[in-house]
Amino acid sequence: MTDDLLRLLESAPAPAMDLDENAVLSGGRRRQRRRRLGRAASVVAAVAVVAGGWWVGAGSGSSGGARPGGTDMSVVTTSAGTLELALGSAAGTTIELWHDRGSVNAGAAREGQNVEVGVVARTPVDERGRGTVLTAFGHRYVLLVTSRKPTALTLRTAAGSSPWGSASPDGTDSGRVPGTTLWATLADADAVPDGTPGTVSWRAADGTQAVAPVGPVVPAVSATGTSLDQTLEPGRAREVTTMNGPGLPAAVERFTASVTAPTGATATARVTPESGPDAADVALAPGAPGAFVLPVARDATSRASHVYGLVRAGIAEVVVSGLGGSAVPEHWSTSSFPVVGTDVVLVVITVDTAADAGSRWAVTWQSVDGEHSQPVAVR
Amino acid sequence: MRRSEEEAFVGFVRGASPRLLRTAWLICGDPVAAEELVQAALEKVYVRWTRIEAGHELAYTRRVMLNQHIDTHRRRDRERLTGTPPETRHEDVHEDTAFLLRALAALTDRERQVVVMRYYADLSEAEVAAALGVSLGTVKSTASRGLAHLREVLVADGGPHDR
Repeated sequence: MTDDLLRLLESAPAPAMDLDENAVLSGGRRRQRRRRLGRAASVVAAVAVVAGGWWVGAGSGSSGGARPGGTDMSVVTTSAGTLELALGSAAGTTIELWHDRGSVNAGAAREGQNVEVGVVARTPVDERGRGTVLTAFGHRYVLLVTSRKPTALTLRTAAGSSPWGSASPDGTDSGRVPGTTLWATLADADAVPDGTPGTVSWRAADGTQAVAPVGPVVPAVSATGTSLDQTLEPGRAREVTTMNGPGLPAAVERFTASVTAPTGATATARVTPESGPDAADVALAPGAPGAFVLPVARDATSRASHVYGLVRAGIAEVVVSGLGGSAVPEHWSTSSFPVVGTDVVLVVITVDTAADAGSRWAVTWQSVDGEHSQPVAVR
Repeated sequence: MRRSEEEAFVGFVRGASPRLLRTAWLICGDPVAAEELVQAALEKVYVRWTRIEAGHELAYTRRVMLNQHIDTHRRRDRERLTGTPPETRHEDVHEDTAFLLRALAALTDRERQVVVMRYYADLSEAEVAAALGVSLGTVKSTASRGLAHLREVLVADGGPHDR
C-alpha cells in the first residue's frame, strides 16, 4: 500500500502551476520594508554590538544599575534627556557614523529608506584626539563621537562645500555644526580613571543637541577633542541634498544619540543598508579595553521612555518579540538581530512616555549554555 | 540584500519551486492555493535569506511553508482539500490525480502534512518533527494514523489504477 502511495505522490500528474520570480522578489522586498518600518516607526529598537561587558545603566528615574559582566539582563526606563552611564575601563574616544535613515521624513524618503538606524563606521581617535570617519555612502548620517573624558568638540569637514557652510581656505570648515548644539560635556571628575565601572552623568544642557547630520557631500569628517555627545535636533530640521544620485531633500524628524567607548572587541559587525551600497563590515578595534554602545532614540515631538536590556556572551542572534501593550504595534511580531562574534548585546527599545505601562516584550537569545528569554516591560 | 545574494535567492527559487509547488499542492489540494502558499513562503524566506545556514535553504523554506499553511488555515478556517477538481478543469485531471486528492482529503491537516513531508518530500521523522515543531513521537503516531486512513480509502476506492 505504501508503495502505491509513494508512486501516487511522486507520479500523479499535478496541475500546471507557476511561480512568478519577480512577484516573489517584490513581495519579499515589501515584507522586508514593512518589517523594518514596523521597527522604526513607532517603536525603535536598536541593537548595539558591544564588547567588554559593562552594563550601561540609564538615567534619571533609572531603576537599573551598573552590572559589570552580568550575564542576565537588566531593564530600566528613563525619561528623555538624562542618562547615567556605568563605564567600563575605557580610554580615548570613538567616533561612530550612524546611517540615519530613520530620521528621514516619509515624504522625502525614497522607497525603503526611512527604516532603521545603524552604525556604518567606527574609528578611534588618535593620541592627539583626532579621528576621521569617511562618509562613504550616499546617504544621510549621524556622527557620534564620545569619550569618557569629554572636553570639547570641533568638527572639521574636509570638503569644498558642506551643508553647514563654506570651506575655509585650507579646505576645511571647522567649528560647531550650524543647526546643532552640544550636549553638556562630562566633567573629567565624572570619569572613572581606574576603569572600575562607575556612574557618570550625562545630561542635556541649555539649548541641547549635539549631533552632526553628516551629508554625503562631505567625503570626510574629522573630530578634535575627547568628548562629544550628540543628538540630532528635530526642532531645527534642515534640508540636505545629496550629491550622489538623485537629490534627496530630507528633514530630520527623529534623532538618535549614542555614547561609545573603545573596547577589547575583536569582532566585526555587519551592517546591511536597506538600499544603496552593499553591506559594510564594521570592525571593532582589537585590543582596546572595554567598550559599550548606548543607542538612545527619542521622539521628536514627545518625550520618550527607554527600555534597555543587556545580554552577554556567545550570542548568535537576539530575537525581540512583542508581547502586548499599547507600545507594541500589532504589526510588530518579532524582530531578530544577528550578532557576530561579540560579547555583549545591548537591546534598546524606545517607546513613547505615554505608552501603556503594561507594554512588554520578550528578548530571547541563544548562548553557549542554552536558550534564554528575558521579559522586558515598560515600567 | 546584496545583488549577488539576491541572484542566489532567485536561483534557489527557480530550482526549488517545482518541487515546492508540488509539495504545496499535495498539502493544499488546490493549485492556486499552492502557488499562493509557495509565494508567501518564499517572500518570508527572502527576508531571512542571508541568515539561513548554507545548505538548509530548502528545509527552511519547507518549514516556513508548513507554518504558513497552518497559519493561513487557522486564520481562514475555510480551506478544504477536495477530491473533486474544479469543473472547468475536470477534463484535465488525471484519474490518479483525482484519486490522490480524494485520498489526501480524507486526512486531517496535520496527517496530510506529515504524510506529504515524510513520504513525498522524503524528510526523516526528525526533520518533519522539526519542521512542524512537534515531537518525534507525534510525527510517528500521526504518520501511522495517516497511513491507516489512506489504507481505508484505498480499500474503499479500489486503489489507484495501475499504469
